[in-house]
Amino acid sequence: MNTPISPEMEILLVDDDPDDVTLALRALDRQHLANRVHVVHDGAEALTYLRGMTRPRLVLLDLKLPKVSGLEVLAEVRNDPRLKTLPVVILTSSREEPDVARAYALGANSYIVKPVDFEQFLRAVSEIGLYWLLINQSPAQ
Amino acid sequence: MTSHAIGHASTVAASPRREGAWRWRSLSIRAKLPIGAVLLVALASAAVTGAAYVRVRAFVLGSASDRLFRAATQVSDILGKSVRQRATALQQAAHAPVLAALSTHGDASEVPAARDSLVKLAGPGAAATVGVLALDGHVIVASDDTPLSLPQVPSLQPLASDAAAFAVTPLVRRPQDGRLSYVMTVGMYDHDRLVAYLVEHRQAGGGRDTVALMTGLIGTQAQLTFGNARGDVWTDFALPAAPATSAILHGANVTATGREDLFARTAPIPGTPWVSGVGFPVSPVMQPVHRFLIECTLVATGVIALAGFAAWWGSRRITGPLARLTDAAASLANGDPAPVLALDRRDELGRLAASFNQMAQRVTESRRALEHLVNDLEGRVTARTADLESANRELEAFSYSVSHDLRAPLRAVAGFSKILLEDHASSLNASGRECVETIARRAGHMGQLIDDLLAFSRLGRTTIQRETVDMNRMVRGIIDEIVRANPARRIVWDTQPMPPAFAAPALVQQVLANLLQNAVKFTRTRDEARIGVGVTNTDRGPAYFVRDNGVGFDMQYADRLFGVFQRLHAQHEFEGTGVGLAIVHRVVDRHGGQVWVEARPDVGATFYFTLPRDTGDVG
Repeated sequence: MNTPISPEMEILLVDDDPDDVTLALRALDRQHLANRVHVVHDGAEALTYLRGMTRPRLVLLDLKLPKVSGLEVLAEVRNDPRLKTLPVVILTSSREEPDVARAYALGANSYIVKPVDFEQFLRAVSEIGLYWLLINQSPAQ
Repeated sequence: MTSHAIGHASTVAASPRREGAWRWRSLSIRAKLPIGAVLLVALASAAVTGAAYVRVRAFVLGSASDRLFRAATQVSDILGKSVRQRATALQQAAHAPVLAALSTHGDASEVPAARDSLVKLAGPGAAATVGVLALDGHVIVASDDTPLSLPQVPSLQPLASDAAAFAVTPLVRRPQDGRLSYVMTVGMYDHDRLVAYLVEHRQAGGGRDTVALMTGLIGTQAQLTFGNARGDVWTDFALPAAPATSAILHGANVTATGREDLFARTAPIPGTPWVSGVGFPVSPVMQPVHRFLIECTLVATGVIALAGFAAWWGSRRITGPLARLTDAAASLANGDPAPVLALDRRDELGRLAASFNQMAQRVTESRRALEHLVNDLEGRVTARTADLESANRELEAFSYSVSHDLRAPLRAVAGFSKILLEDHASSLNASGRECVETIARRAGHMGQLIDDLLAFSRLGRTTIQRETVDMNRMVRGIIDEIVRANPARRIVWDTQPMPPAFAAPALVQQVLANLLQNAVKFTRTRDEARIGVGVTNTDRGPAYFVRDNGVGFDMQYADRLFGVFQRLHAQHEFEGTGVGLAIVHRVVDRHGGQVWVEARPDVGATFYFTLPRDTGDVG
């Protein structure tokens, strides 16, 4: 799959667990998307990045984050007129129903539970990347 | 059925009477007592008045009757005397020489002188005719030409032997003027021998003088009459009177004369076949009686009113405190503190009020104690609920942590094991690769275990939202999935139609999936697996079942089967976490159903479960 590579970062990965980041990047690497990912490790950093000059095409957001939680980040994004159409996919370990419900209520585009099994994890993350960057048509900026 | 119908009929028949009784019973004492007293006194007054009236009336009637009889007797005496005087006058005239000679000798030359004497005897006017009649009845001489005749023989007989005797006929009506007249006969004797009769035909009634005399005697309202004792002719001394008065002769006290009711009594007139009658109008006589009755009624009315008022006042004295007692009891019943009843009396009501005050005080005290207890209990319940809620929150936080924090390291273990195998396979020998694969596999297994455990824990906390579940469709869906996931397996499915269940669909789905996956798993060693699903009648009622021809198990371990982490097979024989059947048990239990199993080693196992099918909220 040879897709044109644009210079700007297209995916913002927000996750405080470096191992999960490594695994996610490995998964995205299979779709040759790894070099287009910007990684931040907490919610505050994520908001700073999003309010800066570059706008990613997709945010992969963990829920349990230091400083500002994933749900708070999501709420801020949806309240920001510039960012409210930004595709945000929750990628978390939590299967708890209240988390799922709140995330969708705040306007998450998808909610993915990170599988423990590596093969499943790889498949899940790479499919997310493929879908949102290549298949889905996002609104114009 | 029959007895019910009879009971119903008798109830209907009894109801009208009961309704009447209910009206009297539902009246307050304040109304009942005066009504009762008034009725009682009215009854007594009526009885007394009635009895007195009857007595007074009888007395008045009796005395009036006596007085009338005395008056009638007096009138008869006067009339009798008058008749006798006339008879005496006639007898004296009969001895007069002129008439005596005529009667003895029949000397015609004496006739003119005799007639003169008779005319004198008859008196002025045409009131009487007097004549001398021979024994054979022919007229020897008379005062005028009016025909004279002798009365009947029996009335003349005494005259033959008694010179003092005279005969008077009953009154007869004269045809020419309708006036009443009678004939009086005396004997004419020659030395005691009856030789002729001196006969006088006289108009009856003494005239106005007599009537005035009599009326003066017995009062202006009296009606004075006299007539024949046989009742055929009757006069008021002037003109013939109504024959209706004849009823008086036959003993009637009161008679109707057309205008008004009369009392009347009669008395025989001595020496004549006549009677005299005195009548008196009823109303003046009865007036005192009526006045007595009216006075009695007035007095009785007063007494009744007094009794009613007294009873009303008395009942008010009783019902006033009772009403206050009732209000106090009602407020006590409503849970308000009852007012203290102040009754300054020592009678039954006073004692009742005192007892009530005591009771009210005790009730209020015990109610306060109860309220205190309830508050205490509520406080404890609130505290316990708070404890439970906090425990539940901790449990939720715990499972959240487990969910999030336990799986992250496992994912790292599994993931990096894979990376090791992929990127550094050349650095590892066969044994090393096997170790890393085991690490990856077991990490995955632990992830599954955590997921199952969390699902099981969630089951205890979620509320059950029931709806109608199409069991047949659900089973078909699960089987399709299983068939897709196990393309190599040969499985014969025997699904029978099942009635819908009333349950939480997602949970029932989990139950059926777990049981069917178990059946598939434990028939793995069979060349041809046979799995049946349906409904059957058991001694615990109709139950859904999942049957397989798998490896089965020894029934002595059956009670362990539904516990968490309880497994009957080694992991290398049949993989699993030991949570699936625990989930089945918990779901069925939370729906108010039952789950059980029948199995034989190497033959197979059948799992049964029941779910409520009606809308009754069970569990």
